[in-house]
Amino acid sequence: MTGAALAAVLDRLRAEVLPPKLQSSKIRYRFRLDRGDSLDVVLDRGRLSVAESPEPPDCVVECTSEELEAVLSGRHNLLTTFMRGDARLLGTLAAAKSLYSYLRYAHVEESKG
Amino acid sequence: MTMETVSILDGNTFVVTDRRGDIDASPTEAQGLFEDDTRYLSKWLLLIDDRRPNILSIEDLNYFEAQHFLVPGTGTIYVDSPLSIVRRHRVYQGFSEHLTVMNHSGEPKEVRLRLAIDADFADLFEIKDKLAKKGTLYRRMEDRKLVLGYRRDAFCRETWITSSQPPEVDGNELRFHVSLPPHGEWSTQLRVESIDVNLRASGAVLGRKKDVESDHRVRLEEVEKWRQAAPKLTSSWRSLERTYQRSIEDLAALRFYPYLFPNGAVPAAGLPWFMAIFGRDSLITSLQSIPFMPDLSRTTLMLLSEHQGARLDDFRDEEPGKILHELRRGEMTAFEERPHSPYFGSADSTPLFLILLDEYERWSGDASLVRELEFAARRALEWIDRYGDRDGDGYVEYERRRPETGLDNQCWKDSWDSIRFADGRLARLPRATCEIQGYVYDAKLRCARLARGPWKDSALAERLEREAADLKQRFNRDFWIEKGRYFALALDGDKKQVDALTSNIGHLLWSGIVEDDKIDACVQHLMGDRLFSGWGVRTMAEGDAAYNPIGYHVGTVWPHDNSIIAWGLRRCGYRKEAAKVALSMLEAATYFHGRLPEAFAGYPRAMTGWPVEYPTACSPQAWATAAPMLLCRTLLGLEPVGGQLLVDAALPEGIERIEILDIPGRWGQADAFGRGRLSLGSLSLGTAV
Repeated sequence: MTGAALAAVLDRLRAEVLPPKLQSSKIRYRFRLDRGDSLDVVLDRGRLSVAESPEPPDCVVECTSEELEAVLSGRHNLLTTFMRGDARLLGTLAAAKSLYSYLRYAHVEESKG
Repeated sequence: MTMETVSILDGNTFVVTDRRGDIDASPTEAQGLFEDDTRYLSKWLLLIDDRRPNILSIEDLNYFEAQHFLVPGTGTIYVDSPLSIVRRHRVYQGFSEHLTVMNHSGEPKEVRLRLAIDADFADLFEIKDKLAKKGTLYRRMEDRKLVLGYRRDAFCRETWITSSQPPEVDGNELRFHVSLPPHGEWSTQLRVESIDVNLRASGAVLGRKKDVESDHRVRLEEVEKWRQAAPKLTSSWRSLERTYQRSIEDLAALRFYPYLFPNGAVPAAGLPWFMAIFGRDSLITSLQSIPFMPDLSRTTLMLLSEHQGARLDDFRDEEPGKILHELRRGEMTAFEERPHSPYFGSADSTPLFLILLDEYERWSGDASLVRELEFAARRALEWIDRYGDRDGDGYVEYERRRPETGLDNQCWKDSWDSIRFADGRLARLPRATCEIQGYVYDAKLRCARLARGPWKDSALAERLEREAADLKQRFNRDFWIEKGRYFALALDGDKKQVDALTSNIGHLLWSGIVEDDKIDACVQHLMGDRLFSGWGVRTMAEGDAAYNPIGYHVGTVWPHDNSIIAWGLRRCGYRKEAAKVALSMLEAATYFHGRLPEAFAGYPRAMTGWPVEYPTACSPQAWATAAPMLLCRTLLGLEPVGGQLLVDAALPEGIERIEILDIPGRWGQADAFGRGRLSLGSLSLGTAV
C-alpha cells in the first residue's frame, strides 16, 4: 500500500459519532508494512489522516498491506486480527486502544459517482 | 465442578486438578491449566515407580495455592509407606508445582519419578462443544526448557516447562531418579508458563509478566489489603460471618484484570466455564457488592463503556450503544468462529449498566465518573429506544441476528428452553421478558436523576420521567395476567402473554415498575408454595408444565435471583418476607461451606432437609458469591440518603445481631448495626440460626 492509496482510504473513513475522548485525542501511528515500508498517520480531532512527523509514533502497527486495507475498510476487526497474530501492536496500550475504538465507530463512505 | 476436583485461580488464569494434583483432561473433565480461554496443560500426571500415588489430604492455602499430600501405595494396609509426597501448587503468572519427596525411614531409598505432560491448546468452546483442533502441535527442547506449542497460521501459543532439578526428558515426560538418604528429602520447583506468542511479540503494549517471586509477594500483600479494606462483619450467627468471609475471598479470586485497565479489576463470571468478562454478571455482581467494594463497580462501568457497541454487526449482535454480553480471547474467537470479540447478545446489560451508574454515584458521590460516562449513558439510552425496541411496541425485546452463533435467550435466564408458557410450549421470538422492562423503567428514572444532577440537562430528565411513567402504565396493562394475578414472564413474538409463573416477578418489585395494587399479589406468589421451596424462590413455579427442580432456569433456585427478590420485597415494604428470603439463602450457604453455588435444586425443603446441589453449577460464581452481601444490605436496610447512610434493620428474631463496620461511601466510612426483633410468625423457616 502506498501513501497515496492509504490517504485515499483514510479520506473516505467517516465517524459520525465518537466518544469525547477520541474527539479530543491526538495520537500518532506508524503502519509498518511488508517489505519494510512504513506509513505515518495521525488521529486528530476525530479524523485519521496521513501525516509525516519527526516525532516518534505512540503506537506501531505491523501487518501486511492487505491486512491494513482490510482493517481500515472494516472487513477485518483490529482486535481479532491482533488476536490471530496477523497484526502486531507496539507502543502504548492507550494508543492501540484508541485506534481500535476509532475503527469500530468509523466506516468507509462509498465513493460518489 | 465436582468435589473430586481442586481449583485454584488468579485473575485470567486457573488450574483444575484432581485430588492428587494431577491433570488428566478428557472430553468430560474440564481439567487443565487455562489462561485467556485456552488450555495450556491438558496432562500433568505424576507417577512414583510407575504407579500413581494415593491421596492423603488437600490443604487450601489460598485461592491461588493448594497443597496435596500423597503417599505411594504399598499394596496392603498392613505396611506403612516409608515415603510421602507433597505437591504445592500455585497459580500466579502461570502455574508452578513445588514437589517434595520425603523419606521417613532409616534406610536410603531410590525412587523413579515421572511426570507425563501434554498441552492440547484447546479453546474452551472446543472443550464444551467437543471440537477438533485445526492447527498443528509441536514440541522442542530449548536450553533446559520443554516447549509444547501450537500454531495455526500466525496464531501461536506455547507452554514452557522448566524444573529446578534437571530432569531426563523423554518425549513429553520429565523423569527424575531420586536418591533419598535416611530421613532425607528431595524437592524440585516445576514451573509452567503459558505463552501467548502473539501477545509476547507486542510486549511493549500488553506485556504484564514480571518477576514471579516478587510479584507473588506483592499479590499476597494485595490480597491481605483487599481483606482488610472490606467492611468488617460480625454477628451472633457465626456461620453468617464465615459466609461473608468466603464471599470476600471468592470475590478476590474472581477478580479479572482487563488489559485495558491493568490497575483495576472487574468480577469474572465464574469457574470454570465463565472466567471471562460478562456484561450482565459483572454488572449484577457490582450492584450486589457496592456497599462493600465499590471499586469493582467503577472498573466495571469504565470497562463496559470502552467496549460499548459502536456499529451494526449481525455476527456479534452488536448495535450502537449496546453493552456487551461476553468477551473472550481464545482461538475460536480470534478466527471469528465464535462472535465473542466481544459478543453483544444480552438485552438487559444496557439498562443494568445505567442502573449501576446511578447506584454507584448514590453510594460513592463520584460525579466525575458520571460526567465521564455521560456519552456512554446517552448512547445506552438511545439503544433502549432505537434498537432494543425492535418493533416499536415500546418494549425491549430480543432475537439473535445470526442463528448459527447467537444466543437464543438474551435475558438472564439464557438457556434455550427457559422462556415457556405455563403449558410448557416455547415462546416465539422475539421475546420481551418482563424483568427487562422493569430494568428499563428503573434505568430511565435513575438517568433522570443523573440528568438533573451531574449532566445538568433538565429537559432530558423530564423526557425520561415521562417515558418511564408511560412504560409503567403500559406494562401493568400488557403484562398483567388478571386471572392468576401475576405478571407474564414475557410477551412473545405475537405479543401474547407467556404465562409461566416465575421468579422474574421479584425483579419487577425491585425495579419499581409494579403498580401499588398489584404488589401484594406478586408477594403472595413469591412466598407461596409453588415458588418458594423453603430454601429460596424457584426460577419457575412448581405445577407449570416445564417445571423441573433440577432444570437450569425452570425450577432451580438461584442465589443471585433471590438476593434481588429480597431487595425488591424490602423496597416494597415487605420486611418480613425479605428477611425470610434472605434467611433461607444464608442458611443454604451454610450447607455449601459458606460458598453459595450458581444454582441449587428446587426440591421442597420439607422433602430434602438440605439444599440439593445442581450438578453442573459453577462455583465460585460471581453473582452467587456476592449474593450474601446484598442480602446483608437488605437485612440491615442500608440505603444512601443524601450524604448519609441510612440503616433500618429488619432482622428476624433468630439472628441476635449483625454489625458491619467501616462501610465506605460518600459519608467516608460508616457503621451499621441491627438486632433480631422481627418475628416471622407464620413465615418462620423453623431456622437453626
